[in-house]
Amino acid sequence: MLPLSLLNAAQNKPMLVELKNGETFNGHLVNCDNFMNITLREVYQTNSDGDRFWKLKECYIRGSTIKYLRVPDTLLDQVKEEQNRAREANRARGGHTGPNRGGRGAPARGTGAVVVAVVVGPFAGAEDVVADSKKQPV
Amino acid sequence: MPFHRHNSGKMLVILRDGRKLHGVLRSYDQFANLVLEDTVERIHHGDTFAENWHGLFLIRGENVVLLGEIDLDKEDDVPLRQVDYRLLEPYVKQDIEQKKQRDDAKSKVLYDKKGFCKEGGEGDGY
Repeated sequence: MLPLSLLNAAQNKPMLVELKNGETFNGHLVNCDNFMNITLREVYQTNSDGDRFWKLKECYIRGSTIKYLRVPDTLLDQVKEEQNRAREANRARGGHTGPNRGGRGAPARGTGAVVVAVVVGPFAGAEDVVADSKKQPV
Repeated sequence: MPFHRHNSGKMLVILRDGRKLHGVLRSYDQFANLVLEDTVERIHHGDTFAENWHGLFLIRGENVVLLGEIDLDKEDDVPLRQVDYRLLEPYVKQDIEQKKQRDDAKSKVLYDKKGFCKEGGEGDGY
């Protein structure tokens, strides 16, 4: 669960955003992107001393100005559960799961595929080929 | 599940604004963006410290100065006394204010008399 995936999963959740200059924004996440740019709805803005407040209907925050975001404690568990459910649903449809989905990696263990390495001929010549290729003008 | 099987998963994060956060590192990416769970902020003054509970944090990597693992066994040997956060907070605020004034005075002297340029206003203390 990468930090930005967590942010994506936090859509419509309440959060507190503190900017580098110390201002904070309390609101519900509407949208975000991979630059950490975000839009919030029903926002309470606080200045860096914490003694002045503004109420905003909606606001946009450029990702590069953010110091940190505080998200609900329950979010991590919710996301994990969601991922599990998605995996179960996928398995029920007969889909493949796991890290090597459709990739070109080694075959999964226990599938019956056996790889036998066969040494075909003398390898003495191979070195010469490599050595020769280095002499070629580029 | 701890972040790494050899440690407790408890980490110390120091931010550029000087804040110290203790929490369990749950994930990170190539920018050092961090997800910190069960986070507490610690403040220090003299031989005392205090904690303030925050919860789940997503920290933008740019602001991270330090990320370090906490050795829970050695943490017990630290000769610091925990006190109430609200008790300690005014002292720490005062410390920060005094440090700021000292730094301002110092940089003014450097600028006026020693030909130094002005620091970028961001408080780039590190």
